[in-house]
Amino acid sequence: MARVRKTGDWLSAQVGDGLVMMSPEQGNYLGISGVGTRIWELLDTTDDVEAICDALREEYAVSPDQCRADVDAFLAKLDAQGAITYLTGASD
Amino acid sequence: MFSYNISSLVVDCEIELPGRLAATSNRPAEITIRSAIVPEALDAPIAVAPTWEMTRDQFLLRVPGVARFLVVGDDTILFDAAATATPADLAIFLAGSVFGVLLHLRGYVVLHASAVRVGACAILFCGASGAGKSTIAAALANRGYPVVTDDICAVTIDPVPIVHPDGRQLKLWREAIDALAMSDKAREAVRPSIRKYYVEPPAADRTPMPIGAIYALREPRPPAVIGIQQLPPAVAAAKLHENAYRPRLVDRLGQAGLYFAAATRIASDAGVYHLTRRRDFASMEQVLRSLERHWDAIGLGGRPA
Repeated sequence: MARVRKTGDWLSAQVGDGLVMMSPEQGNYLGISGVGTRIWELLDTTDDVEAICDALREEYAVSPDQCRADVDAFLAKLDAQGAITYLTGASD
Repeated sequence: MFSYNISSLVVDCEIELPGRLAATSNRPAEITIRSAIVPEALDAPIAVAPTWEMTRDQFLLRVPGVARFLVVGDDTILFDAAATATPADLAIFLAGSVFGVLLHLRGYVVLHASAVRVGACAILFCGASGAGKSTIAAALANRGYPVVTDDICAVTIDPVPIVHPDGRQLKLWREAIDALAMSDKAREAVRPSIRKYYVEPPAADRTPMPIGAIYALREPRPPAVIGIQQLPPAVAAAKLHENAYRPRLVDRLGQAGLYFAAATRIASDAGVYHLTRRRDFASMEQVLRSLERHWDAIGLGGRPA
């Protein structure tokens, strides 16, 4: 079961329907929008990727496999920016 | 003592600052610039670079052959002139880099930008030295748009981003003055040894005003193509930090969050764009027309009469 946690001291601000984030220590900027914004919110309530997928499937019409693939792709992007860490494996 | 209005601040200066417009306000001075003995180095600096160093409340800039400049707190600039320094040399640093540092220390968002007024808003053009900021502001001034700032643009967020006019003349290279037919407005050389001159803008505005748009200037090197492109908010935020007057100082002062807040606010309220254009004078007319069309499109009317 994959578990993830937000890392670093990100500042964030709403711009339009998206979120812009900055890590003062790393100097990176990250823009997220749409479902990504919702996933970022959900990361404050759970570290369980499966629980995030369950929550999303209640809000969006999406198949379980597609949902998991999209969430994994988004988390990989956050991981590349140093915005999250995997507590347990990314693909188990 | 000479008195000036710079970025909404009343500045008293022991020496004349050519290219600066005299103060119009009777308020007591908020900033004092005077001659004094300035040390070669600071005690217990928190940051040291080849030409500058800083402590918590002082910033020392060494310019060989010109002066040592010391910014003390957020209201005093001291200078210790070299024997070879001319008043013009001192003035260009006092009114330029050193004042820019003081604005950073006072907590302004300080952008490397020139600005003109369109309608009720300031339109900013930012870019590295030599990117063409002053030239485009001068070309727009020729079309009747009042100049707001040149080179250093001080912004406060309260709560909307407000530009504080710098009350100064433009600085233009001889080639730009000739191409823009502004010889009648050219004044003395910025420094005796270079072909850059102070130029009186045909119109200037000295009232603080909100930001209407920010354009980052660039040339059409692939993959960049000629035109105006809106930057996604995260790119806009990075671009604004990059175009801080002294980006490293922003980080040293722990102000990255301040620039982030300003950038996201500006991206929401106004928009940050790339203005990709050829830098030659032959393209200028076309660039100005595309800007005016863009201002119409984003609802910033107010063509000058």
